[in-house]
Amino acid sequence: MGPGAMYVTITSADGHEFIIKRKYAEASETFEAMIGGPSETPENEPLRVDMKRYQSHVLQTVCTYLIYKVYYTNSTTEIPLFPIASEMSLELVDVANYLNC
Amino acid sequence: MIRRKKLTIFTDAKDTTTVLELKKMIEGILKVSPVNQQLFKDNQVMEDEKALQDYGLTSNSAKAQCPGSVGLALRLDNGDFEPLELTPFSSPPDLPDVMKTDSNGQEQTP
Repeated sequence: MGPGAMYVTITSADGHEFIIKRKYAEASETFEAMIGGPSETPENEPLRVDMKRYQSHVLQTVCTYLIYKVYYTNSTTEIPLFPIASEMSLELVDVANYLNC
Repeated sequence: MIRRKKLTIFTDAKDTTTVLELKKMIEGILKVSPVNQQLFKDNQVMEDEKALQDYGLTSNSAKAQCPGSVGLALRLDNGDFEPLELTPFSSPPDLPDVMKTDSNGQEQTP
């Protein structure tokens, strides 16, 4: 197994914390750059990413989307639509642009 | 998703993953022993030897784009478990009137 922590903690504006596997966070180029390469982080040291410009409801959808993206990339099964509430679409376009994913 | 107060953990699990195995995954992240964890599906305490599918968490009901949700309570210093508490997420702003439409428009972010 390679070095580096397996999970990343993402913090929201309202104090919520989201923990996802590093491999899902790296589906976003911005997260990947923020986390850095595996060799830069000592094992077992927790990785934290500050996303305090965004509220928890946005980040919850971001985490779900990153997992959905990795899960269905190169999938041969039919890919279901990712549900997005209209009320969130503006904020999601903003964060998707920021995260480049 | 495993939720406790303001913490949300996203993990992978199979239909046949047991509750105890899920607690061990949480132990790896939060460094809390499974004996000091209590998992809840809705308000029902989940038993270690049961599988997630026994609580209705299957690959059909809990998908990548729509994950299932499990509550977590940790044991307090006095030996009792804390009450299950999930801090709700924030709410999106109201839709501007110009965007309100009767059609079922879905935006996909590439």
